[in-house]
Amino acid sequence: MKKQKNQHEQFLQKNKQRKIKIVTIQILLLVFLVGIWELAACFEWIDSFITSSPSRIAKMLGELSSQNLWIHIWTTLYECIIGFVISTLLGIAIAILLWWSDLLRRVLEPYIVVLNSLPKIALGPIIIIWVGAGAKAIVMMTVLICIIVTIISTLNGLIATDEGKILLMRSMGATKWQVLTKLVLPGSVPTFLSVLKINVGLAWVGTIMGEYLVSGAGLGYLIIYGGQVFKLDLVMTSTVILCFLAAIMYFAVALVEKLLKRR
Amino acid sequence: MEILKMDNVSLTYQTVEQETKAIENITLSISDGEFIALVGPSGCGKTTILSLVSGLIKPTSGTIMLMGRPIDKPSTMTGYMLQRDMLFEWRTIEKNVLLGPEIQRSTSIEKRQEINELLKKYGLWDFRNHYPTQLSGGMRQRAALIRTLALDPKLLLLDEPFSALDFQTRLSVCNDVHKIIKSEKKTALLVTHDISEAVSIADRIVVLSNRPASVKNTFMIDIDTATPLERRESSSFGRWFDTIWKEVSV
Repeated sequence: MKKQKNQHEQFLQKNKQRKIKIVTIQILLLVFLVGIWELAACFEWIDSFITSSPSRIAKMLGELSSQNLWIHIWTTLYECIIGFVISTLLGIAIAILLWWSDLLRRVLEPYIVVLNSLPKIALGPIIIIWVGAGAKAIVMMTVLICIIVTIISTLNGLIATDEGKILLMRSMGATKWQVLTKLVLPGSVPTFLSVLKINVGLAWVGTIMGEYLVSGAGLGYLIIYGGQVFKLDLVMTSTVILCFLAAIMYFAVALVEKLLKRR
Repeated sequence: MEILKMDNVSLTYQTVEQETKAIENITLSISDGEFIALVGPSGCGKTTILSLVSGLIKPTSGTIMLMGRPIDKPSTMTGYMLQRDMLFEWRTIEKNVLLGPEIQRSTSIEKRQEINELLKKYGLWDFRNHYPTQLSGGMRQRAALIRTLALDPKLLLLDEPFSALDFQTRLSVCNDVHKIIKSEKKTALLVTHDISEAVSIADRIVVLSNRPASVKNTFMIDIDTATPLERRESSSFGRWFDTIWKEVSV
Protein backbone atom coordinates (compact mmCIF):
# COMPACT_ATOMS: atom_id res chain seq x y z
CA MET A 1 0.00 0.00 0.00
CA LYS A 2 2.78 2.36 1.01
CA LYS A 3 4.77 1.48 -2.06
CA GLN A 4 1.73 2.22 -4.20
CA LYS A 5 1.33 5.64 -2.67
CA ASN A 6 4.96 6.40 -3.40
CA GLN A 7 4.42 5.40 -6.98
CA HIS A 8 1.46 7.70 -7.20
CA GLU A 9 3.47 10.52 -5.68
CA GLN A 10 6.19 9.87 -8.20
CA PHE A 11 3.64 10.00 -10.98
CA LEU A 12 2.25 13.31 -9.71
CA GLN A 13 5.73 14.73 -9.42
CA LYS A 14 6.61 13.68 -12.95
CA ASN A 15 3.39 15.19 -14.19
CA LYS A 16 4.15 18.47 -12.46
CA GLN A 17 7.71 18.54 -13.77
CA ARG A 18 6.44 18.04 -17.28
CA LYS A 19 4.01 20.93 -16.93
CA ILE A 20 6.75 23.20 -15.63
CA LYS A 21 8.97 22.13 -18.51
CA ILE A 22 6.30 23.00 -21.08
CA VAL A 23 5.61 26.44 -19.60
CA THR A 24 9.34 27.18 -19.34
CA ILE A 25 9.92 26.28 -22.98
CA GLN A 26 6.92 28.37 -24.00
CA ILE A 27 8.32 31.43 -22.19
CA LEU A 28 11.84 30.82 -23.53
CA LEU A 29 10.49 30.56 -27.06
CA LEU A 30 8.80 33.95 -26.71
CA VAL A 31 11.93 35.52 -25.22
CA PHE A 32 14.00 33.98 -28.01
CA LEU A 33 11.74 35.27 -30.80
CA VAL A 34 11.52 38.76 -29.32
CA GLY A 35 15.29 38.75 -28.75
CA ILE A 36 16.08 37.70 -32.33
CA TRP A 37 13.73 40.39 -33.62
CA GLU A 38 15.39 43.05 -31.48
CA LEU A 39 18.92 41.91 -32.35
CA ALA A 40 18.15 41.74 -36.05
CA ALA A 41 16.79 45.28 -35.94
CA CYS A 42 19.70 46.47 -33.82
CA PHE A 43 22.38 45.12 -36.18
CA GLU A 44 20.29 46.19 -39.16
CA TRP A 45 19.89 42.69 -40.60
CA ILE A 46 16.33 43.81 -41.20
CA ASP A 47 14.97 47.28 -41.86
CA SER A 48 13.25 48.27 -38.65
CA PHE A 49 11.37 50.99 -40.49
CA ILE A 50 9.37 48.21 -42.16
CA THR A 51 9.52 45.50 -39.50
CA SER A 52 9.58 47.69 -36.40
CA SER A 53 11.26 46.17 -33.32
CA PRO A 54 10.39 45.29 -29.74
CA SER A 55 12.09 48.40 -28.37
CA ARG A 56 10.30 50.63 -30.88
CA ILE A 57 7.02 48.96 -29.94
CA ALA A 58 7.73 49.62 -26.26
CA LYS A 59 8.52 53.24 -27.05
CA MET A 60 5.35 53.59 -29.11
CA LEU A 61 3.38 52.00 -26.29
CA GLY A 62 4.72 54.63 -23.90
CA GLU A 63 3.85 57.43 -26.32
CA LEU A 64 0.37 56.11 -26.98
CA SER A 65 -0.51 55.54 -23.34
CA SER A 66 0.20 59.18 -22.59
CA GLN A 67 -2.20 60.07 -25.40
CA ASN A 68 -5.46 58.24 -25.99
CA LEU A 69 -4.50 54.55 -26.16
CA TRP A 70 -7.15 53.62 -23.61
CA ILE A 71 -9.88 55.16 -25.71
CA HIS A 72 -8.79 53.04 -28.68
CA ILE A 73 -8.58 49.86 -26.62
CA TRP A 74 -11.90 50.54 -24.97
CA THR A 75 -13.61 51.28 -28.29
CA THR A 76 -12.49 48.03 -29.87
CA LEU A 77 -13.12 45.95 -26.77
CA TYR A 78 -16.57 47.44 -26.34
CA GLU A 79 -17.55 46.81 -29.97
CA CYS A 80 -16.19 43.29 -29.84
CA ILE A 81 -17.97 42.35 -26.59
CA ILE A 82 -21.30 43.85 -27.67
CA GLY A 83 -21.08 42.05 -31.01
CA PHE A 84 -20.07 38.80 -29.30
CA VAL A 85 -22.94 38.92 -26.80
CA ILE A 86 -25.59 39.91 -29.34
CA SER A 87 -24.57 37.31 -31.91
CA THR A 88 -24.25 34.51 -29.34
CA LEU A 89 -27.60 35.17 -27.64
CA LEU A 90 -29.50 35.91 -30.83
CA GLY A 91 -27.88 33.00 -32.66
CA ILE A 92 -28.77 30.54 -29.91
CA ALA A 93 -32.33 31.91 -29.75
CA ILE A 94 -32.77 31.50 -33.50
CA ALA A 95 -31.30 27.98 -33.35
CA ILE A 96 -33.83 27.05 -30.65
CA LEU A 97 -36.62 28.46 -32.79
CA LEU A 98 -35.44 26.39 -35.75
CA TRP A 99 -35.22 23.29 -33.54
CA TRP A 100 -38.77 23.92 -32.40
CA SER A 101 -40.30 24.29 -35.85
CA ASP A 102 -39.36 21.67 -38.37
CA LEU A 103 -41.20 23.58 -41.09
CA LEU A 104 -39.31 26.80 -40.38
CA ARG A 105 -36.02 24.92 -40.41
CA ARG A 106 -36.73 23.35 -43.78
CA VAL A 107 -37.94 26.63 -45.25
CA LEU A 108 -34.91 28.61 -44.06
CA GLU A 109 -32.26 25.97 -44.76
CA PRO A 110 -31.18 27.21 -48.23
CA TYR A 111 -31.11 30.82 -47.03
CA ILE A 112 -28.84 29.95 -44.14
CA VAL A 113 -26.53 27.96 -46.39
CA VAL A 114 -26.21 30.87 -48.82
CA LEU A 115 -25.69 33.41 -46.03
CA ASN A 116 -23.02 31.14 -44.55
CA SER A 117 -20.98 30.99 -47.74
CA LEU A 118 -21.41 34.68 -48.52
CA PRO A 119 -18.30 36.71 -47.57
CA LYS A 120 -19.81 39.09 -45.04
CA ILE A 121 -17.30 41.82 -45.87
CA ALA A 122 -19.19 42.23 -49.16
CA LEU A 123 -22.07 43.61 -47.14
CA GLY A 124 -19.87 46.43 -45.80
CA PRO A 125 -21.24 49.23 -47.99
CA ILE A 126 -24.82 48.15 -47.36
CA ILE A 127 -24.23 48.16 -43.61
CA ILE A 128 -22.71 51.63 -43.69
CA ILE A 129 -25.60 53.02 -45.69
CA TRP A 130 -28.19 51.34 -43.51
CA VAL A 131 -26.91 51.93 -39.99
CA GLY A 132 -24.40 54.73 -40.55
CA ALA A 133 -20.62 54.87 -40.34
CA GLY A 134 -20.06 54.39 -36.65
CA ALA A 135 -19.81 51.85 -33.87
CA LYS A 136 -23.21 50.48 -34.91
CA ALA A 137 -21.84 49.42 -38.29
CA ILE A 138 -18.90 47.67 -36.65
CA VAL A 139 -21.12 45.79 -34.20
CA MET A 140 -23.38 44.90 -37.12
CA MET A 141 -20.43 43.47 -39.04
CA THR A 142 -19.37 41.43 -35.99
CA VAL A 143 -22.89 40.07 -35.54
CA LEU A 144 -23.17 39.16 -39.22
CA ILE A 145 -19.90 37.27 -39.14
CA CYS A 146 -20.67 35.37 -35.94
CA ILE A 147 -24.35 34.70 -36.05
CA ILE A 148 -24.66 32.30 -38.98
CA VAL A 149 -21.97 30.00 -37.60
CA THR A 150 -23.62 30.23 -34.17
CA ILE A 151 -26.98 29.23 -35.59
CA ILE A 152 -25.59 26.34 -37.61
CA SER A 153 -23.41 24.83 -34.88
CA THR A 154 -26.00 25.30 -32.14
CA LEU A 155 -28.75 23.81 -34.26
CA ASN A 156 -26.59 20.79 -35.08
CA GLY A 157 -25.99 20.30 -31.37
CA LEU A 158 -29.69 20.58 -30.50
CA ILE A 159 -30.71 18.17 -33.26
CA ALA A 160 -28.13 15.62 -32.13
CA THR A 161 -30.10 15.02 -28.92
CA ASP A 162 -30.60 11.28 -28.36
CA GLU A 163 -33.90 10.23 -29.97
CA GLY A 164 -34.32 7.55 -27.32
CA LYS A 165 -34.24 10.14 -24.55
CA ILE A 166 -36.87 12.23 -26.33
CA LEU A 167 -39.00 9.09 -26.75
CA LEU A 168 -38.61 8.36 -23.04
CA MET A 169 -39.73 11.85 -22.06
CA ARG A 170 -42.68 11.74 -24.44
CA SER A 171 -43.76 8.38 -23.03
CA MET A 172 -43.85 10.11 -19.64
CA GLY A 173 -46.21 12.68 -21.10
CA ALA A 174 -43.67 15.50 -21.50
CA THR A 175 -44.60 18.59 -23.50
CA LYS A 176 -42.29 19.95 -26.20
CA TRP A 177 -41.30 22.76 -23.83
CA GLN A 178 -40.31 20.22 -21.18
CA VAL A 179 -38.29 18.24 -23.72
CA LEU A 180 -36.48 21.47 -24.60
CA THR A 181 -35.78 22.70 -21.08
CA LYS A 182 -35.13 19.41 -19.31
CA LEU A 183 -33.32 17.49 -22.03
CA VAL A 184 -32.26 19.37 -25.16
CA LEU A 185 -30.81 22.51 -23.55
CA PRO A 186 -28.97 20.91 -20.60
CA GLY A 187 -27.72 18.19 -22.95
CA SER A 188 -26.32 20.79 -25.33
CA VAL A 189 -24.06 22.56 -22.84
CA PRO A 190 -20.91 21.21 -24.57
CA THR A 191 -22.22 22.63 -27.85
CA PHE A 192 -22.82 26.04 -26.28
CA LEU A 193 -19.29 26.05 -24.90
CA SER A 194 -17.72 25.25 -28.25
CA VAL A 195 -19.89 27.93 -29.88
CA LEU A 196 -18.62 30.46 -27.34
CA LYS A 197 -15.04 29.54 -28.14
CA ILE A 198 -15.57 29.84 -31.89
CA ASN A 199 -17.36 33.17 -31.43
CA VAL A 200 -14.57 34.69 -29.35
CA GLY A 201 -12.29 34.33 -32.36
CA LEU A 202 -14.86 35.36 -34.93
CA ALA A 203 -15.99 38.41 -32.94
CA TRP A 204 -12.46 39.81 -33.21
CA VAL A 205 -12.43 39.14 -36.94
CA GLY A 206 -15.72 40.99 -37.27
CA THR A 207 -14.70 43.94 -35.12
CA ILE A 208 -11.36 44.56 -36.82
CA MET A 209 -12.93 44.06 -40.23
CA GLY A 210 -15.61 46.55 -39.26
CA GLU A 211 -13.00 49.04 -38.09
CA TYR A 212 -11.12 48.67 -41.37
CA LEU A 213 -14.31 49.69 -43.14
CA VAL A 214 -15.43 52.56 -40.96
CA SER A 215 -13.99 53.98 -37.77
CA GLY A 216 -12.56 57.01 -36.08
CA ALA A 217 -11.09 55.13 -33.16
CA GLY A 218 -10.10 51.63 -32.10
CA LEU A 219 -7.19 49.27 -32.65
CA GLY A 220 -8.34 48.37 -36.15
CA TYR A 221 -8.39 52.08 -36.92
CA LEU A 222 -4.86 52.49 -35.56
CA ILE A 223 -3.63 49.59 -37.70
CA ILE A 224 -5.21 50.97 -40.87
CA TYR A 225 -4.05 54.51 -40.09
CA GLY A 226 -0.53 53.33 -39.27
CA GLY A 227 -0.41 51.40 -42.53
CA GLN A 228 -1.53 54.38 -44.55
CA VAL A 229 1.07 56.79 -43.10
CA PHE A 230 3.73 54.05 -43.04
CA LYS A 231 4.10 54.05 -39.26
CA LEU A 232 4.82 50.37 -38.85
CA ASP A 233 5.56 50.88 -35.15
CA LEU A 234 1.94 51.86 -34.67
CA VAL A 235 0.70 48.86 -36.68
CA MET A 236 2.86 46.41 -34.74
CA THR A 237 2.01 47.93 -31.36
CA SER A 238 -1.72 47.75 -32.06
CA THR A 239 -1.37 44.17 -33.24
CA VAL A 240 0.46 43.18 -30.06
CA ILE A 241 -2.25 44.79 -27.91
CA LEU A 242 -4.84 42.96 -29.97
CA CYS A 243 -3.08 39.67 -29.26
CA PHE A 244 -3.29 40.34 -25.52
CA LEU A 245 -6.96 41.29 -25.64
CA ALA A 246 -7.92 38.24 -27.70
CA ALA A 247 -6.00 36.00 -25.30
CA ILE A 248 -7.72 37.54 -22.25
CA MET A 249 -11.15 37.07 -23.79
CA TYR A 250 -10.37 33.48 -24.75
CA PHE A 251 -9.23 32.68 -21.23
CA ALA A 252 -12.37 34.29 -19.83
CA VAL A 253 -14.46 31.89 -21.94
CA ALA A 254 -12.22 28.98 -20.91
CA LEU A 255 -12.87 29.96 -17.28
CA VAL A 256 -16.62 29.93 -17.88
CA GLU A 257 -16.22 26.47 -19.40
CA LYS A 258 -14.30 25.24 -16.36
CA LEU A 259 -16.96 26.60 -14.00
CA LEU A 260 -19.77 24.96 -15.97
CA LYS A 261 -18.04 21.61 -16.22
CA ARG A 262 -17.32 21.42 -12.50
CA ARG A 263 -20.22 19.92 -10.63
CA MET B 1 -58.63 -8.07 -13.86
CA GLU B 2 -57.78 -7.23 -17.42
CA ILE B 3 -55.13 -4.53 -17.69
CA LEU B 4 -54.62 -4.40 -21.44
CA LYS B 5 -56.81 -5.50 -24.29
CA MET B 6 -55.73 -5.24 -27.92
CA ASP B 7 -58.44 -6.10 -30.39
CA ASN B 8 -57.62 -6.67 -34.06
CA VAL B 9 -54.94 -3.99 -34.04
CA SER B 10 -53.18 -3.20 -37.31
CA LEU B 11 -50.70 -0.51 -38.23
CA THR B 12 -49.46 0.64 -41.61
CA TYR B 13 -46.52 3.01 -42.00
CA GLN B 14 -46.42 5.52 -44.81
CA THR B 15 -43.10 6.50 -46.34
CA VAL B 16 -42.30 8.20 -49.62
CA GLU B 17 -41.14 4.93 -51.18
CA GLN B 18 -43.91 2.65 -50.01
CA GLU B 19 -46.61 1.64 -47.62
CA THR B 20 -45.38 -0.80 -44.99
CA LYS B 21 -47.64 -3.04 -42.97
CA ALA B 22 -45.92 -3.26 -39.60
CA ILE B 23 -48.45 -5.27 -37.64
CA GLU B 24 -51.62 -7.02 -38.63
CA ASN B 25 -54.67 -8.04 -36.61
CA ILE B 26 -53.06 -8.46 -33.24
CA THR B 27 -55.42 -9.55 -30.50
CA LEU B 28 -53.92 -9.82 -27.07
CA SER B 29 -55.06 -9.46 -23.52
CA ILE B 30 -53.02 -9.13 -20.36
CA SER B 31 -54.39 -9.54 -16.88
CA ASP B 32 -53.21 -7.99 -13.65
CA GLY B 33 -49.84 -9.19 -12.37
CA GLU B 34 -48.94 -11.12 -15.49
CA PHE B 35 -45.47 -11.05 -17.06
CA ILE B 36 -45.78 -11.43 -20.81
CA ALA B 37 -42.97 -11.75 -23.32
CA LEU B 38 -43.35 -11.01 -27.00
CA VAL B 39 -40.77 -12.87 -29.07
CA GLY B 40 -40.30 -12.85 -32.80
CA PRO B 41 -37.70 -12.41 -35.52
CA SER B 42 -35.79 -9.12 -35.51
CA GLY B 43 -37.52 -6.31 -37.31
CA CYS B 44 -40.93 -7.95 -37.13
CA GLY B 45 -42.57 -4.96 -35.46
CA LYS B 46 -42.27 -5.86 -31.77
CA THR B 47 -41.23 -2.38 -30.74
CA THR B 48 -44.11 -0.92 -32.74
CA ILE B 49 -46.52 -2.80 -30.49
CA LEU B 50 -44.98 -1.17 -27.42
CA SER B 51 -45.17 2.27 -29.06
CA LEU B 52 -48.86 1.65 -29.71
CA VAL B 53 -49.58 0.55 -26.15
CA SER B 54 -47.66 3.51 -24.74
CA GLY B 55 -49.81 5.86 -26.81
CA LEU B 56 -46.90 7.33 -28.79
CA ILE B 57 -48.49 6.24 -32.07
CA LYS B 58 -52.05 5.39 -33.04
CA PRO B 59 -53.15 2.17 -34.75
CA THR B 60 -54.52 2.26 -38.29
CA SER B 61 -57.36 0.02 -37.22
CA GLY B 62 -58.51 -1.90 -34.15
CA THR B 63 -58.79 -0.81 -30.53
CA ILE B 64 -56.39 -0.81 -27.59
CA MET B 65 -57.93 -0.50 -24.14
CA LEU B 66 -55.92 0.13 -21.01
CA MET B 67 -57.84 -0.52 -17.78
CA GLY B 68 -61.04 -0.37 -19.81
CA ARG B 69 -60.27 2.97 -21.46
CA PRO B 70 -58.99 3.61 -24.97
CA ILE B 71 -55.43 4.99 -25.27
CA ASP B 72 -55.14 8.25 -27.16
CA LYS B 73 -51.95 9.76 -25.74
CA PRO B 74 -49.03 8.78 -23.48
CA SER B 75 -50.21 8.39 -19.91
CA THR B 76 -48.69 7.56 -16.56
CA MET B 77 -50.58 4.26 -16.59
CA THR B 78 -47.83 2.79 -18.74
CA GLY B 79 -44.11 3.00 -18.03
CA TYR B 80 -41.69 2.60 -20.91
CA MET B 81 -38.23 1.14 -20.43
CA LEU B 82 -35.89 1.19 -23.40
CA GLN B 83 -32.89 -0.79 -24.62
CA ARG B 84 -30.40 1.66 -23.26
CA ASP B 85 -30.95 3.14 -19.80
CA MET B 86 -31.33 6.70 -21.17
CA LEU B 87 -30.17 8.24 -17.89
CA PHE B 88 -29.34 11.95 -18.22
CA GLU B 89 -25.59 12.31 -17.61
CA TRP B 90 -25.92 15.77 -16.08
CA ARG B 91 -28.42 14.65 -13.44
CA THR B 92 -27.67 12.68 -10.29
CA ILE B 93 -29.35 9.30 -9.91
CA GLU B 94 -31.91 10.86 -7.56
CA LYS B 95 -32.70 13.62 -10.06
CA ASN B 96 -32.89 11.09 -12.88
CA VAL B 97 -35.37 8.98 -10.97
CA LEU B 98 -37.43 12.11 -10.29
CA LEU B 99 -37.73 12.90 -14.01
CA GLY B 100 -41.22 11.43 -14.43
CA PRO B 101 -42.77 13.13 -11.37
CA GLU B 102 -41.06 16.37 -12.46
CA ILE B 103 -42.69 16.15 -15.89
CA GLN B 104 -46.04 15.40 -14.27
CA ARG B 105 -45.42 18.17 -11.71
CA SER B 106 -46.04 15.78 -8.85
CA THR B 107 -42.85 16.04 -6.81
CA SER B 108 -44.65 16.14 -3.48
CA ILE B 109 -42.95 15.11 -0.26
CA GLU B 110 -44.92 11.85 -0.27
CA LYS B 111 -43.76 11.07 -3.79
CA ARG B 112 -40.16 11.80 -2.84
CA GLN B 113 -40.45 9.53 0.16
CA GLU B 114 -41.94 6.81 -1.99
CA ILE B 115 -39.02 7.09 -4.41
CA ASN B 116 -36.50 7.18 -1.58
CA GLU B 117 -38.01 3.91 -0.36
CA LEU B 118 -37.52 2.39 -3.81
CA LEU B 119 -33.92 3.60 -3.94
CA LYS B 120 -33.24 2.13 -0.50
CA LYS B 121 -34.97 -1.14 -1.24
CA TYR B 122 -33.11 -1.76 -4.46
CA GLY B 123 -29.64 -0.75 -3.36
CA LEU B 124 -29.23 2.66 -4.98
CA TRP B 125 -29.71 4.85 -1.92
CA ASP B 126 -25.97 5.22 -1.31
CA PHE B 127 -25.54 6.22 -4.93
CA ARG B 128 -28.35 8.76 -5.11
CA ASN B 129 -25.94 11.67 -5.42
CA HIS B 130 -23.73 9.95 -7.98
CA TYR B 131 -23.85 10.66 -11.67
CA PRO B 132 -24.79 7.86 -14.11
CA THR B 133 -21.22 7.57 -15.46
CA GLN B 134 -20.07 6.57 -11.99
CA LEU B 135 -22.37 3.50 -11.93
CA SER B 136 -22.06 0.04 -13.47
CA GLY B 137 -24.30 -1.03 -16.33
CA GLY B 138 -26.44 -3.18 -14.05
CA MET B 139 -26.96 -0.41 -11.52
CA ARG B 140 -27.82 2.05 -14.28
CA GLN B 141 -30.49 -0.27 -15.62
CA ARG B 142 -31.89 -0.68 -12.10
CA ALA B 143 -31.98 3.12 -11.79
CA ALA B 144 -33.83 3.25 -15.11
CA LEU B 145 -36.38 0.78 -13.76
CA ILE B 146 -36.92 2.82 -10.60
CA ARG B 147 -37.35 5.92 -12.79
CA THR B 148 -40.08 4.03 -14.64
CA LEU B 149 -41.69 2.89 -11.37
CA ALA B 150 -41.62 6.42 -9.95
CA LEU B 151 -44.81 7.31 -11.81
CA ASP B 152 -46.47 4.18 -10.41
CA PRO B 153 -47.56 2.76 -13.79
CA LYS B 154 -50.03 -0.12 -14.02
CA LEU B 155 -48.30 -1.67 -17.01
CA LEU B 156 -44.55 -1.75 -17.66
CA LEU B 157 -43.40 -1.86 -21.26
CA LEU B 158 -39.90 -3.31 -21.53
CA ASP B 159 -38.19 -2.96 -24.90
CA GLU B 160 -35.25 -5.40 -24.81
CA PRO B 161 -34.07 -3.72 -21.61
CA PHE B 162 -31.10 -6.07 -21.17
CA SER B 163 -29.73 -6.14 -24.70
CA ALA B 164 -27.13 -3.42 -24.12
CA LEU B 165 -25.58 -5.32 -21.19
CA ASP B 166 -22.88 -7.98 -21.29
CA PHE B 167 -24.04 -11.57 -20.76
CA GLN B 168 -22.98 -11.88 -17.12
CA THR B 169 -24.68 -8.62 -16.13
CA ARG B 170 -27.70 -9.42 -18.25
CA LEU B 171 -28.52 -12.54 -16.25
CA SER B 172 -28.31 -10.80 -12.91
CA VAL B 173 -30.12 -7.64 -14.04
CA CYS B 174 -32.86 -9.79 -15.55
CA ASN B 175 -33.15 -11.49 -12.16
CA ASP B 176 -33.24 -8.11 -10.35
CA VAL B 177 -35.81 -6.64 -12.68
CA HIS B 178 -38.06 -9.68 -12.33
CA LYS B 179 -37.78 -9.50 -8.55
CA ILE B 180 -38.57 -5.78 -8.46
CA ILE B 181 -41.52 -6.07 -10.83
CA LYS B 182 -42.99 -8.99 -8.91
CA SER B 183 -42.51 -7.41 -5.51
CA GLU B 184 -44.07 -4.15 -6.70
CA LYS B 185 -46.92 -6.26 -8.11
CA LYS B 186 -46.67 -4.76 -11.58
CA THR B 187 -47.86 -6.13 -14.87
CA ALA B 188 -45.21 -6.27 -17.56
CA LEU B 189 -45.00 -6.61 -21.31
CA LEU B 190 -41.49 -7.51 -22.43
CA VAL B 191 -40.27 -7.45 -26.00
CA THR B 192 -37.19 -9.51 -26.80
CA HIS B 193 -35.56 -11.64 -29.47
CA ASP B 194 -33.65 -13.58 -26.83
CA ILE B 195 -35.68 -16.75 -26.40
CA SER B 196 -33.87 -17.99 -23.29
CA GLU B 197 -34.51 -14.63 -21.65
CA ALA B 198 -38.20 -14.86 -22.48
CA VAL B 199 -38.48 -18.41 -21.15
CA SER B 200 -36.64 -17.50 -17.97
CA ILE B 201 -38.72 -14.46 -17.06
CA ALA B 202 -42.23 -14.69 -18.54
CA ASP B 203 -45.47 -16.28 -17.36
CA ARG B 204 -46.72 -16.33 -20.90
CA ILE B 205 -44.89 -16.09 -24.22
CA VAL B 206 -46.52 -14.73 -27.34
CA VAL B 207 -44.68 -15.68 -30.53
CA LEU B 208 -45.02 -13.22 -33.38
CA SER B 209 -44.68 -13.91 -37.09
CA ASN B 210 -42.45 -12.15 -39.57
CA ARG B 211 -43.45 -8.67 -40.69
CA PRO B 212 -46.27 -7.78 -40.71
CA ALA B 213 -46.38 -9.09 -37.15
CA SER B 214 -49.34 -11.14 -36.10
CA VAL B 215 -49.79 -13.54 -33.18
CA LYS B 216 -48.53 -16.95 -34.22
CA ASN B 217 -48.89 -18.87 -31.04
CA THR B 218 -49.13 -18.41 -27.27
CA PHE B 219 -47.48 -20.53 -24.59
CA MET B 220 -48.11 -20.59 -20.85
CA ILE B 221 -44.73 -21.26 -19.27
CA ASP B 222 -45.43 -23.61 -16.38
CA ILE B 223 -41.99 -23.81 -14.79
CA ASP B 224 -42.73 -23.27 -11.15
CA THR B 225 -39.78 -21.35 -9.76
CA ALA B 226 -39.28 -18.03 -8.06
CA THR B 227 -36.57 -16.39 -10.13
CA PRO B 228 -35.27 -16.33 -13.73
CA LEU B 229 -31.93 -17.76 -12.62
CA GLU B 230 -33.63 -20.74 -10.99
CA ARG B 231 -35.70 -21.27 -14.11
CA ARG B 232 -32.59 -21.48 -16.22
CA GLU B 233 -31.50 -24.42 -14.05
CA SER B 234 -34.83 -26.19 -14.17
CA SER B 235 -35.13 -29.45 -16.13
CA SER B 236 -37.92 -28.25 -18.42
CA PHE B 237 -36.09 -25.03 -19.40
CA GLY B 238 -34.40 -26.68 -22.39
CA ARG B 239 -37.64 -28.23 -23.60
CA TRP B 240 -39.42 -24.87 -23.47
CA PHE B 241 -36.52 -23.22 -25.25
CA ASP B 242 -36.71 -25.76 -28.09
CA THR B 243 -40.46 -25.38 -28.42
CA ILE B 244 -40.32 -21.61 -28.67
CA TRP B 245 -37.24 -21.63 -30.86
CA LYS B 246 -38.93 -23.91 -33.38
CA GLU B 247 -42.05 -21.78 -33.33
CA VAL B 248 -40.04 -18.60 -34.02
CA SER B 249 -37.93 -20.09 -36.81
CA VAL B 250 -40.63 -21.87 -38.81
